[in-house]
Amino acid sequence: MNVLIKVEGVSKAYIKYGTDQEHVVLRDINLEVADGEFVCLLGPSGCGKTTLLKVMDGMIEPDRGRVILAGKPISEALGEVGFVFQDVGLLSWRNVLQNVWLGLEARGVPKAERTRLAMESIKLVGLEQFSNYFPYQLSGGMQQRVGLARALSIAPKVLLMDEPFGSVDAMTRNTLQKELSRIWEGNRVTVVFVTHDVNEAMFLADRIVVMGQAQILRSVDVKLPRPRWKTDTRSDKRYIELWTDLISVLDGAHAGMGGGR
Amino acid sequence: MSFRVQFLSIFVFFALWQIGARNLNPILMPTPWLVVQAFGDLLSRGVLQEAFMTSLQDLAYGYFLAVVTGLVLGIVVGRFVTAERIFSPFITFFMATPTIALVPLIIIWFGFGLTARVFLIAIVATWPVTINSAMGIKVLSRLLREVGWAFRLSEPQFIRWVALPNAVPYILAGLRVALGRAVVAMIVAQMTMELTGLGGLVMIYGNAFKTAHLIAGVFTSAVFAVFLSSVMDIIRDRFFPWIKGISA
Repeated sequence: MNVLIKVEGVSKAYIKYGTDQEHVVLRDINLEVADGEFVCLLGPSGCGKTTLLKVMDGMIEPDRGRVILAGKPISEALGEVGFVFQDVGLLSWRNVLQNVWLGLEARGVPKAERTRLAMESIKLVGLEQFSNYFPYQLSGGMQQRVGLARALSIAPKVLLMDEPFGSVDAMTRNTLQKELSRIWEGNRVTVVFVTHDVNEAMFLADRIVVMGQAQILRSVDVKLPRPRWKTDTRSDKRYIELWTDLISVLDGAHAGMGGGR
Repeated sequence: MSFRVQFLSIFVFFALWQIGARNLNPILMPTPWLVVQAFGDLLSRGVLQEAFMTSLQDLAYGYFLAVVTGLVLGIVVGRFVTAERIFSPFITFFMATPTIALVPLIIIWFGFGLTARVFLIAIVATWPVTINSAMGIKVLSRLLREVGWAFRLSEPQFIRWVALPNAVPYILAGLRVALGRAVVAMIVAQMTMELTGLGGLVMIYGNAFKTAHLIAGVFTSAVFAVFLSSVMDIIRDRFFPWIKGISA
C-alpha cells in the first residue's frame, strides 16, 4: 500500500497563559497513513490527538516537523482534505444543501454541478428529505451527518474526523458509527478518526494509534473481520484480547497524565 | 387566549381612564372620548397626516444616514484593531452624550431646518449601529475560522459567506436600538428647532393647553414608533428566519 500522509517529526508546544512555562502538546510525532486505510487516534482528553489532527490539515502550524500529503506539503493541498468537527460548525444561515456545497462553492464549481455533487453526499448520509432545512431544525445527530456530507462532497483524498460522535447520545452514536462504516466500505477513502472511546476505535479502524503525554504509545492493527456491524464482533475472542490490551495501555497513559485534564 | 387577556387589559385601562377623568378639568386630563374627538379633528383638517409624513421624511433621511455611516464605521472598527483604537474614544463619547445637549450646537451649524433635524437624528442613531456591527464582526468563533480554513475559503469568500452573515443578528439588534434613539431625536428636533412634524404638533397644542389634541399627538408618535419596529421584525423574520432558530 502507498503511504498517503506522512507526519514527520512534528512537535508543538504552547506557553501556559500568564507564565513562561511550556506545555508540550506534541513531541516528535512520526506517523504514516496508507492510502485507503482507516486509522483511529485513540487517547485520553488532552493527550494532543486533536492538535495532531489539526496539524494534519495545516490548521495548526507545528513548531517543528512537517506533514506531507501525496508527496506535497499540506499547505499546498487544496480540496484534498475533508474535515469533520466535533461541534460540526455548520453555517446557521445556510440550509443543508448550501452548507454541504460550501467547499465546492469555494472552488468555483458551477451551481448545477455543485447541487448534483452535494445532493449525492446528502443522499449518502440519508438526509435527502431535509436538503432545504436549516441547521436549527435538525437534531444533533442529523447535524453531524450534514458535517460528514459537507466533508465528503469535495471528494477528498483523506477524511479527518475530530471526535465527530462525541456530543451525541449513545443510541445516535451507534447508528452514526454503523453508517460511517457502511459509507467507508463503499468508498474506502483514507480516514484519520480521533476518539477517546476504545469500542468506537475497535469498531471502525484498521489500525489504532494510541496516544498519551504528547506521544504515540502504540500502533495496533485491528484484525477483526469486516463488515463489523453484521456480526456481533464483540463476542469474538480477538476483540476481547485487543480490548484488554488497549485498556491497559490507556490506563498507563491516563495515569501518566495525572488523570487527564 | 393570551390575546383575549391583552384586549381585556386594554379595555379596562380605557374604562378606568374614562371614569377617572370624567370629573377632572379636561386641561389637566381629558377623557379618552375627548381624545378620540381631537383625533378626528386633526385628521379631518389633514394636520395629523402632514405631521406624520414630515416625521417619516425626517426619520428616513436621518436613519438612513446613520445606518450607512454606522455599518461602514462598525465593519472597519470590527475588522482592524488600529481603527478600533482610533475611533473607540469618540464612539463612547457620542454614545454617552445626551441628545438634547447637542441641539444648540447643531442650530449654530445648520440653522433650524430639515438639515439640522436630519443631522441630529443621524448623529444620535449612528453609534448603536457602529458598536453592534463592530461586535458582530469580532465575535467570530474559533470553530467558524477553522471551518473557513478546512474548506479553503479565500479571505473575500470568508467575509461574504461567514463573517458578515455571522454578524447579522448583532447588526439587526443595533438597528433596532438605533431606531428607538432616532425616533426620540426626531421628536426632540421637531420640538426644539422649527416646530414641525409630530414633535411640533405636540409642542404647539401643549402651549395652547389643548390637552386632548396633545395626547392624540403623543399616541400617534407611539403608534409611529411601534409601526416602524414591527416593520423591522417582519423584515427580520422574512429574510433571516434562522435568527429566531439560533436564539430559541
